[in-house]
Amino acid sequence: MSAEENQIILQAKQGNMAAFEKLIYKYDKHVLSIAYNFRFNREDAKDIYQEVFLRVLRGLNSFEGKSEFSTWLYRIVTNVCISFKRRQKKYEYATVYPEYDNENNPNSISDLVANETRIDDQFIDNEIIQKIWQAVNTLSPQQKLAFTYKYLHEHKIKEIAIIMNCTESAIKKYLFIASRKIREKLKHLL
Amino acid sequence: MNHNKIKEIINLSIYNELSEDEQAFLNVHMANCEECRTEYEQIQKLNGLLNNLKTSKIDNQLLSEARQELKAAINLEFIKKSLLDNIIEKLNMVLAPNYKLVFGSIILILTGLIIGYFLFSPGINGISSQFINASQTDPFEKNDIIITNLRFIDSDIKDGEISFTFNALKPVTMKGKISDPMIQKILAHSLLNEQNDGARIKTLNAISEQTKNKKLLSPKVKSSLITALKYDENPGVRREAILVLKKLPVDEQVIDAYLYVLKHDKNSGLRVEAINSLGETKVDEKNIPEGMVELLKQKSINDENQYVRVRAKSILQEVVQQ
Repeated sequence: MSAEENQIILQAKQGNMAAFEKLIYKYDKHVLSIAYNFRFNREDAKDIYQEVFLRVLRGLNSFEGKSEFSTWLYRIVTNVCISFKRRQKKYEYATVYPEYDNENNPNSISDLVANETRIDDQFIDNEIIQKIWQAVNTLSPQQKLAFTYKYLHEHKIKEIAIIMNCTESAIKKYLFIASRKIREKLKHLL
Repeated sequence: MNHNKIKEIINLSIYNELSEDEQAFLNVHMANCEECRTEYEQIQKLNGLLNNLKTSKIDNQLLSEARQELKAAINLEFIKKSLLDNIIEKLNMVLAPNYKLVFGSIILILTGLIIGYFLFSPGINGISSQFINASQTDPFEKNDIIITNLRFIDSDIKDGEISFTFNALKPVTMKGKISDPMIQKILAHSLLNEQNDGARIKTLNAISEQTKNKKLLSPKVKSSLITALKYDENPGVRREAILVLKKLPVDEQVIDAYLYVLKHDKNSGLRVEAINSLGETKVDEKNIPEGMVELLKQKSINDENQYVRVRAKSILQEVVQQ
């Protein structure tokens, strides 16, 4: 952690909102990008982004600087992403009117959750990307997150293990299974 | 080494995660193993295909929206915190040693006045209460009844008889499904009348549960939700109310509530929620609510929150284009 960043964190801890903003703006584009790649949905990405930085705001005083700030931040990102999926399942099944869940309705909420295809169609007009994303969405949250960090953000396995708080061999396993599952789903394109 | 292990190593090779020795070992193995060579080529092809995802990047508009919404959420966070701090500060003030005596004295005087009032008040005409003959009924049959507000009608003891009125409160424990009309009726009442902020928020959480059970909310609950959204003094309660309301089908009442919040709520976080909810609503061109266009025009110019201004402008454009 650079001396400058250390100083900004110290000021932010003392309640200096300008310093907090500066700290956020250093990382927030990357965080939003991870969130978007994890969900492929703009609203979900914004929700994850907001939850991450609210947790940073609430927990900054407990950050003792024993690890890099970025490591601490990406651990929060990991937790929010993984729990976000659970929260989505919990809430997306909710509907007030049964007709919204009618099986004749191709866009019914339960269908979307069951197929995990809750993506922004308007932003992904490329059919290949849609197919890849549908394949990626069959992964477990941990596999998907490891895949996002590795493939889309090119983190090293060692870094991902620290961020996701597990061993390197676990990450290698996630990536191996992810690759095998995606390959199976996309074999007609290979 | 078996092929499965080699396949894992091939993956790592594609990620550039192998040491020089491991890479050399893999190269030697692949030179002599067609199956693993094919595996390597397949994973390389997959990698090429996955590169398509890297083109789906976030844009500046998304980043700007996320930042604006975060600011609104942080403001809300601070409002909640300052409310809590105020309460703690006031409690500290009241319980500080210098004030303890004054506080204790006030409580003592008030208690004396209240007891005096009840003891010596001749009773208030017009209070309607059921007259119970003490020799016939035992109002304390169930010992969980709380007696309050005892008032003497006849305190003259010369004739050996007295009469008085009191309120007999009986705590009721109720258990049932949230979909039950009676439970919903009580939740609606609690949402509007309960003084404890936490209890109102818990009520909203319970109502939110009902929306998950794919069942209708009674009109009374919906009406209470809208009233809480418009008039509850606690921004946390208003925020919970709008979140629950967003899960309901949109109709004229709901849009009207969003417009009210957008127009009157001083909390920018709630205005952001309201404008977002309006943005997600498909308003029928023939039924654009009265005053909506005018309000959006005003908000796109005057609202102190930049996100609300920008969003109002974009919704206005959509409405006008219709």
